[in-house]
Amino acid sequence: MDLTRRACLILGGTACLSVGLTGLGSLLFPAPLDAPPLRLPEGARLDWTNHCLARLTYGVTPQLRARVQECGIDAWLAAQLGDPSPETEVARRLRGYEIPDLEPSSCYEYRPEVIRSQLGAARCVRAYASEHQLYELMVEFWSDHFAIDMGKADCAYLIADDQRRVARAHAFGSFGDLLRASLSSPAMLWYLDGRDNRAGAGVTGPPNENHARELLELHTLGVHGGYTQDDIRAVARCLSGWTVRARHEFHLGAVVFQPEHHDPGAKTVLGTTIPAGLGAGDRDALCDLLVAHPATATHLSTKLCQRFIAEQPPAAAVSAVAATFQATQGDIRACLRTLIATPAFCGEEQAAAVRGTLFKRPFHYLIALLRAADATLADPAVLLDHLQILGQSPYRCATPAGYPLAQRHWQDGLWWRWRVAHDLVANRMPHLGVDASALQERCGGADGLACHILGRTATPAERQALAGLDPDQALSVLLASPSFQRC
Amino acid sequence: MSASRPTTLVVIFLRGGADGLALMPPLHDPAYAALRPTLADGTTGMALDGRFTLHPQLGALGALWQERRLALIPACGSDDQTLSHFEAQDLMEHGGHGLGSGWLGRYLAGSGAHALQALSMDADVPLMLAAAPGAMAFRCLQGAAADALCTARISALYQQDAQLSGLAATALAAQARLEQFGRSQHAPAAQALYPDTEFAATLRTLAGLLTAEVLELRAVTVDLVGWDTHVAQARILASQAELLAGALAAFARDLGPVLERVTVVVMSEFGRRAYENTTLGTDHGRGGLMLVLGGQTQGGVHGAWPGLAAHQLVGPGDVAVATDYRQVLATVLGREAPLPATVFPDCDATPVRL
Repeated sequence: MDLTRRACLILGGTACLSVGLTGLGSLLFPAPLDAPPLRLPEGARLDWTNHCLARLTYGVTPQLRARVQECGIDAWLAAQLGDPSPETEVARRLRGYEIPDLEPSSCYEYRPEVIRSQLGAARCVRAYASEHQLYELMVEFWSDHFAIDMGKADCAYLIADDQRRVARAHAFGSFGDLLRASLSSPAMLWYLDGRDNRAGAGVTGPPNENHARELLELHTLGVHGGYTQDDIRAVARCLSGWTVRARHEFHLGAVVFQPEHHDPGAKTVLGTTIPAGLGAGDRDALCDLLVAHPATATHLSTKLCQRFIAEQPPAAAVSAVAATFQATQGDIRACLRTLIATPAFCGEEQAAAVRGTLFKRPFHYLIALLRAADATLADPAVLLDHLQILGQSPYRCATPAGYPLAQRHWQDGLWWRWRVAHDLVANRMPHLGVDASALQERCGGADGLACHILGRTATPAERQALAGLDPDQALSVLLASPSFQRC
Repeated sequence: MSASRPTTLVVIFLRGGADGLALMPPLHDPAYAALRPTLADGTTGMALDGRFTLHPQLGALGALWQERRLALIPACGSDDQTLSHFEAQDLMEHGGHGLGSGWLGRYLAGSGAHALQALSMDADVPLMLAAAPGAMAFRCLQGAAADALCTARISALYQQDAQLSGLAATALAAQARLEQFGRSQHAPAAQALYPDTEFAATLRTLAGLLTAEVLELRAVTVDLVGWDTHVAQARILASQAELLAGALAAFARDLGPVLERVTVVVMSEFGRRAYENTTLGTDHGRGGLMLVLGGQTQGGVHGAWPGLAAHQLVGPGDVAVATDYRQVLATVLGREAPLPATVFPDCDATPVRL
C-alpha cells in the first residue's frame, strides 16, 4: 500500500492532510515497503522462538518478527525481563488521556464513565503498542490478582491511583512491595470495605472481615492455604483503623491510620503472635508473615504457571517457581526466569503438549488480532464494547478473584470472535484499519501470511481452508481459526 | 399446553451471598431485633405467614404471592464450611463434593436433552451447566454472520479441533436460529412493566425467546451480581431487592400462560451472618433464601425454620441450614419424571413440598 493511505489509516483523515504529504509520516511510522522481507517460521510446529513470542506477548506484529530476526530470541527475552523504560511511542498514543496520571482528588472531578473509558483505552493502547510486552502481561496478571471493580462505591475515582501504585509500580518488583502497595491502596480499602474496619471505643461487635478474608484466600495463602476462620478475624483486627479520606474531608482519597479505631491487643495469625501495641505496624508484621508463608509461594507460583504454562501445570514446574519465590522473598522477575527455564515451558519433549495450547482470554485475543494483522488503532474505545460483550471489561470484574485463568470460562464467545475478526479485516470497525493485501505482500504471499499469523507453516487442513481465498478472506479465516484462539 | 412441549427451568443465581434474613425477615423471632439492632429498623413489608414478612422492596412480588405462585424457602444452603464465595459457588454449582460437572448439566445429559436446549444469558456458560449437551452463551451470539464462504471454511477448521468442535457447531446452529428471532422484535405483554435495568432487559429478551419458542429451551441461567453486603447493607439491599423483584414480576406477567411451563428458581451461594457487623453490614454466613416461582409451584413459605436463638445458630453466628438446596432443586426437576440418580449422587434429596 502507498505511504499516504497508510498514514491516513494511522492518523485519521485530517491529520493525514497536514502530515502525510510532508513525509513526516515516514519518520513516525517506518514504511513497511522499505523493510527487508520478513523471515517467517518454517517449522510445522511452534519452534522455541515462536513459542516465546506467542506466550510472552499480546501477539506478534511484523515489526516484532523483524526485530527478533535481527537480535535473536535470547537477547529479546533478556530485554523483556529488564527494566521497562519510558516509551515515546506509547506516550504519544496516550496523549489526551489525562486520567491515568491523575491523583485521586482530581479524579473526583470526572464522571465515572469518562474514567472508565479512558483507563480502559489506556490499557488497550499499552498492550497494543508497548515494547515491554511481558511487563504489560504481568500488569494484567496483577490487576486480576488484586482485582477491583471500579463500579463499586468510590472505586472509580481511585482506580487510576491503584493501577499506577500497585500493578504498574510493582509488576516486575517484589511481591512484598506489591502486597504492601495493595494493602495501602485507597481503591482496595474501598472495594473490600477495609476503610470501614473499625475497633476501639464506641465500636461494639466484630470487625468487618471482608478484606481480611480475601487477603488470605485470594491475595496470599490461597483458599486451601491452611488458615482458619479465627485467623481471618485476627487479620481483620490487625488491619482495623486504616481508612480513606472521603468527600467533604481534607486530602480526599488519602489513606490514613486512625489509632483510636485500631484494635491494639495482641493477635495470633497462623500460629504466630503479633504483639500488642504495634498500632500501624501490625500491617507490616502481617505482610511479612504472609509473604514468607510457604502457602503464599505455592499459591502465587501455581497461578503464574497456570498463566504461562498450562491450566493444570506440572507439579515440578510449580515447585521450582515456588522455591525461587521463597529464596528471593517473592522477586517476581526471578520467578519468571525460573518459570521460563522449567522443562514444562522450554522443553522440546513437552513442546507438543504445551506450545500453542493456552486459550487466549478476550482482551488478549482482541489485542493479538490488531498486532498480528498489523492494524492501525486510532481510537481504542471501540474495543471496550467488544470486551464488555465477551465479558472482560477492564477494571469491571464483578468478583475480587479477578477474571479467571480457567480456559473453559472464555470459550463460549467463539461466534463473537469470528465476527470481530471478519469486521476488522473488512475495515468495518470504526477507528481500526487493516490492509490484508499489504500484509500478505510483506509476508511474501499467501503461505507467508499463514506462517506469520500461525507462527508455523499451515497444516494440510488449514491450507485447504485457505485455498482460493483472497487476502482479506484468508486473513479473516486465519484470525478466526482455532489456532489463533490459542497461544 | 401440549404435553410434548418441554418445560423450562430458569435459574437466577444471586452472586455474592444474598442476605436471606433481610429479604424475608423473621420478625416474630425475638432474637432478630437483638441481632440486628440497626438493620431491623422496624420498617416492614407484606406479612407472609405470621412468622415472616417480605422485604419492602420485594413488594413487586406481592401479587404473585397472593396468587400463590411464589414459594419461599428460608434457611436453605449447602454444607460448605469455607464461607468463601468461590468455594461455595463452585460447590453449589457442582451439586456436591468431588464432582467435575454441574448439576444442571448432568440433569440435561441424563434426561435426553439435545444441543440448543441450554442457554446462559451471560457472556459465559456457568459451572452448573458443565456437561450439558451444547450449552450456549447468549450475549456472544448476536449479530449477522460473516460472509458465507469464510464461515464455511472456519467451521471446517473447527470440526477438526477436539476441544472446540462442539462449541463451534453449537454456536453456528444457535446463531442461525437467533438471527431469525432477532428480526422479530418481542413486544412485552401490556401488564409487563419492565424496569429500566440491564437485568430486566435480559429477562425481557428471555421472555421473548420463551414465548416465540425459538429454541426448545429446557434450562436457562441468569446471573445477578452485587449481593455481598459487608457495609451499609440497608441501602444496597433495598436497591438489589427492587432490581430483582421488579424484573421478576414483569417477567412473570410477560410470560402469561407460558409461565405454566416455566419454573424460576432464585438462589445464592450462602446467606449472611445473623448479627450485623460494626459497619452496618453482614459477613458471610450459612443458611439463605431460595425462591421458586411459576410452573406447578404451590405458593407459601416452605421448609423448616431453625430459629435465631443463640443455641440455634451455628459457627460464628450463622443461620443453620435446615433445607439442603438440592432438596429444592430435586423437587423442581423431579416434577416431570424421576430424577436421574447422577444429578445429586451424594444427597438423598428428600423432596420439599412446593
